Amino acid sequence: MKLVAPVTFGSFSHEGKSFSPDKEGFVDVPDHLVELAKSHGLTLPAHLAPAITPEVEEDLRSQLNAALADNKALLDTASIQEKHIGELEAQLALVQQAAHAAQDDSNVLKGSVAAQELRIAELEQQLAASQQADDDDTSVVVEDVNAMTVRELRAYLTGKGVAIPAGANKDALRVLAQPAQQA
Amino acid sequence: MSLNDPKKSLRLIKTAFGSPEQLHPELTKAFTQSGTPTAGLTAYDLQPGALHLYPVDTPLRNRTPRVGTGIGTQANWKAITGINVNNVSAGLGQGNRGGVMATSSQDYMAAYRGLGLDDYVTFEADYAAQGFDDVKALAVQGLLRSLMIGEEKVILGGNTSLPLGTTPTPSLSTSTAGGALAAQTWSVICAALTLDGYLGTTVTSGINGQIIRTNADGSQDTYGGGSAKKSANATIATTGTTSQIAGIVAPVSGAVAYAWFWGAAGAEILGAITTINSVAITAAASGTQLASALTATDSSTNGLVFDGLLTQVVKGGGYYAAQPTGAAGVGTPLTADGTGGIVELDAALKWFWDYYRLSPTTIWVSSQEQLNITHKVLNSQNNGAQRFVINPQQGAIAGGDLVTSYLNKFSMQGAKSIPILLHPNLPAGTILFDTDEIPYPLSGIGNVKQIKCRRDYYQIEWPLVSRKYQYGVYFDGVLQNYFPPAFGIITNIANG
Repeated sequence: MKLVAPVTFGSFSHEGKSFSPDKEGFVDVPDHLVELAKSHGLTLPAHLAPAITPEVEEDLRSQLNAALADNKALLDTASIQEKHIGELEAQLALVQQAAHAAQDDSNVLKGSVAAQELRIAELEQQLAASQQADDDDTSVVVEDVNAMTVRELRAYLTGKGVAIPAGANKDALRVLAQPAQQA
Repeated sequence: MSLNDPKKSLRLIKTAFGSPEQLHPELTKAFTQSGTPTAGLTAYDLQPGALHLYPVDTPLRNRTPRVGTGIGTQANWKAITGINVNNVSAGLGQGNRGGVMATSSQDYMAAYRGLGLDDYVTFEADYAAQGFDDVKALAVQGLLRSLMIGEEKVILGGNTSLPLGTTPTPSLSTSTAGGALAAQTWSVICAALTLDGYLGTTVTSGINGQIIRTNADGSQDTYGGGSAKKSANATIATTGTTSQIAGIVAPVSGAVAYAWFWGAAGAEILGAITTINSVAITAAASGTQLASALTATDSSTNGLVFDGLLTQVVKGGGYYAAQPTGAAGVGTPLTADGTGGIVELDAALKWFWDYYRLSPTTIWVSSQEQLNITHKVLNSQNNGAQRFVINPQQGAIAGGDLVTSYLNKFSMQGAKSIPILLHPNLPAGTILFDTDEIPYPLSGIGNVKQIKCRRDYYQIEWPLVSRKYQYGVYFDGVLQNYFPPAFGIITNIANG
């Protein structure tokens, strides 16, 4: 039998006979010395299987049958799983479709909501402006008018768009301011 | 000093008083502690009696019963080894008698041997030791202890009847890497060793061939030193300067070790003693003994002792297994089974059950196997197979683990725990299965093995024929093993 010699293998001798590797690194060893040669580091070529005896053949056959049974079981399991996966994928497609539809509806709703929100914002701005005007009107009371100086009265009346007669004194200005306040 | 010359006398006296150290310097020194323990006026603090700092470990001898009824030249016994060995059916035909069963029996014998050692004390040694120790008592005490140690080795591996023969010729191979051998043609010789041959040898001292011993009375005895006849030499050529050689011999039944010689043909030198049947030779031999110095005979047996357990197992049908050669120089260690067990131990225990329905009671191992068994059991892939009993007391957990027993799965008593014990003389690579009881009803065996003596330990103070007190301590007996199949060995076990 041809065995493979390690790269650093020199030679192998037994009972006066020497065995050396050929150019390809194989050592031709008699069958009865194979085990001994293995102890010296020689190995079986990868493509060579051990000698097949009936016992070994039976053992290999039982191993093969066991492996086949295992594979069949695995294949059966795999086919069942594939079928189940197909069903799951169909269900997933339906779910995705429903999700897309829901997404569209959602977008429409989102647009509507956005318009509504925009409108609300405008209304809120208007309301704020109105409240600001109201606040401006009600921000000055009689006591305030009475406490204002001439300059402040003029500024207040000018801001309200009230025409101020020439030569109007402090009291005249206060009178002019009262209607504005009341208004 | 001259009395006739007063002037001269006066001058001398004057000189002496003036500088006395010039005349007698030793009288004028001060008292200082001496530089050495035994110089000057220094007391010597010596504890009376010598200490005895040597081991006397004889576990097999201590556990083996001794009986003293031996007579004749050998112990003889017969044993029934099987009943209905042909397995005749017990079924009966109507009105018929049963089939006749067959009984097997075997004759056994073991020749008595005298074991003993001698020593002497010279008169002068006795005088010199008085007040310190009793050297005559020490001599006899040392003789008894040495005899017990020697007896232990014989009980374990004495070999009087199993010649190892000629050691097989080594098979060699070379590698161009891993060593430091010079390029040359190397010659390798091997000699298988018995226990006696292994215990008494080192690479430095060399192995023993035939030994011619001169005794205390001047007589001579010749016996084998425990080495088989050396093999024929095998040769192989190396190249370069980094080569190594692997050597393998077929395992020899009864051998526990192998001595390897290598060098140029005709000049092979002892370089290694292995406890497996292979060697890796990476450098020139470091010993001094030449293979050519060995006697060209088989020196493995010793006619002065009796067969020990290792020999009886090989001869008597006990369990014997040698680990496969494995890689040369590496060998094959014990194999963990992955579930907390050892494959080889289980195989042996199964054999005892399958063939004899019995279980060994002790597994004797060397330190190498003790360590390796522990590692293999604890490194099991399935640690759930092990049971740990932990003392929860604080500080009670110690580092390190030791497998102290092995659970026999094959016993009529169910799982049986077999102690694993270290033996001081068991070589690395060999395990001994020992049995103290046979589980057979009415076997008639009190002791499975015993030392049967014609005369147990005795001391003789020999008559004075010179100015020496001469002593001898002896006994005469034999290891009587009633059932060798109850014992077993696994050998050729590599370290790992």
